[in-house]
Amino acid sequence: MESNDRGQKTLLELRDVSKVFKKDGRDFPVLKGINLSIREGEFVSILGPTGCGKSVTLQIVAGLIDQTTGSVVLDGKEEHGPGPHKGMVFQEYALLPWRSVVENVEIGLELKGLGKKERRKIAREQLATVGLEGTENQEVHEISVGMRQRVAIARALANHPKILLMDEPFEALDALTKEEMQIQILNVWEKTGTTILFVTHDVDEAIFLSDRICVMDINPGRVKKMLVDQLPRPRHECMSRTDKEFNDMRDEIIALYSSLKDEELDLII
Amino acid sequence: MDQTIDGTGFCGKKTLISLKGISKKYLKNGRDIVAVKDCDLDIGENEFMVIVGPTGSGKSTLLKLIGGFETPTTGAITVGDSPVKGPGSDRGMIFQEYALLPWRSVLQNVELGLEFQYGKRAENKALAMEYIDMVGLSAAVNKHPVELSGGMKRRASLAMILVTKPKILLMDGPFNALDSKTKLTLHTEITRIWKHEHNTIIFVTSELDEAVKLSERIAVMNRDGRISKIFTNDLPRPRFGKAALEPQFHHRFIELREEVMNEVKAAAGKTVCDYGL
Repeated sequence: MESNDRGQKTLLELRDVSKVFKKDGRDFPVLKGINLSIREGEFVSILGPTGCGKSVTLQIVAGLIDQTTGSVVLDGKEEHGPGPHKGMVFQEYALLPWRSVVENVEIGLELKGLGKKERRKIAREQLATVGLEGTENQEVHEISVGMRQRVAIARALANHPKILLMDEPFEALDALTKEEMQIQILNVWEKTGTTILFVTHDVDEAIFLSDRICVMDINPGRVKKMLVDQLPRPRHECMSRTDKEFNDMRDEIIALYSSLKDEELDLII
Repeated sequence: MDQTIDGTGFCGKKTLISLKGISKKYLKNGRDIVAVKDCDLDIGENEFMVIVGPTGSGKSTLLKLIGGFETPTTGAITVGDSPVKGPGSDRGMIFQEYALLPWRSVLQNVELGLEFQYGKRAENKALAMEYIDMVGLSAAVNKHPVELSGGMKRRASLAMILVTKPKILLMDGPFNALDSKTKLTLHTEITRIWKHEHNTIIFVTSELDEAVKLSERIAVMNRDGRISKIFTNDLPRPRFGKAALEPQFHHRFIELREEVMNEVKAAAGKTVCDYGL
């Protein structure tokens, strides 16, 4: 499915969001004047080096921390606090190790009070969506780290979220598994039509996945440029990351960071 | 120092957990790997047992077998009079990784254990608060995991398990990779909790300082997956703060650690041992 097949309705809006951390009586501005608008069904990445506030932005959208000023509007409503309508997949898998794979996917449904039969059915469907059929009764420690992250994705999807918020979800994985997971998340995105906001400091990952890339600057964190990623879809494994279009896009992003000092530039390229 | 495994429990404590002829084999790349071999071990009620051993000696596997997360290839494990057939709420397992749900606050995460077990109840909150206080996290009850330091996340994970009042606590390197100050605080706290709650604790670690500070007995596992020796830890308590600086205490502490160290080195064979001091 091409991104432009999807709705043009604005789903998520950040309006002039800023964040100031206080430490020892001093103010540390980490985010300044973030304006961002994401359409339903879109895949948007927030890209930047350490200190650009990309994770903080996502945590504010998730409702895990409060912004200092500005507002977050999701589906026309101002957001306060977390909820199952915002699915979270973070770098730490946050699976409960004493529960089996399927029981982890069911957590949200169980807490919502759904009966066992119904929640098992939904959990099985979501495990199939992430390509984990047949693993439901395995223990979390028996499966690979890549599979754990898929379980976390299935768990988020089981609540039918309006948006999936992903904070460097593939960061801790080896290169091969990382690439597999990137393809997997595109499959999930196409199958479900969900909207994804994805934080990364991996330039190629952002290019490979996104419809648009929000390139962030540091000190304080702010939007440097919003780039449209026009690489053809579907991208999948057959796509080469050394094509001219891919290279041009990478060059454009790197050029945006030409003023940063070497020690500030911890992007993966 | 060492005590033979005689099946009568420890120091007159009634046997709570009993492992008889436990072996665990699994297949890896077409080869049989023996993780645990012929382990006999009795653990008494309210005992604090620490298991050490070189990497690959099967200590985590042994813990998972007791937790019911793995099934032994041979032998039987009983808790009280009941055979272990799978995980159960009488055995709370604390893994190395944090087990917190990012969208729930500290309070909501600790309540989670109770919610799964009893459903939503009015008393869940007060009980959760009590255990959050016990692990020293009262100031952070409404914070989400992303706002917590590594040490705070461990404490929250610990409270989440403790609140369900498991009779047995199985801890797999729960304080690994924490800074020494946080570790000291958590050592003091887990000792206090153990005395207060009368749990039976089986604690796996690769740090001998930790093993000697916490344990009543220390079991050493070797590369074959066998228990090669069990030490009785006769150090008086308290073992932290000023008490630990008394020369008499200190000397005995170093001595015991040395004895355990030599056993671990022997258990590791001639290869370089991964134990620092």
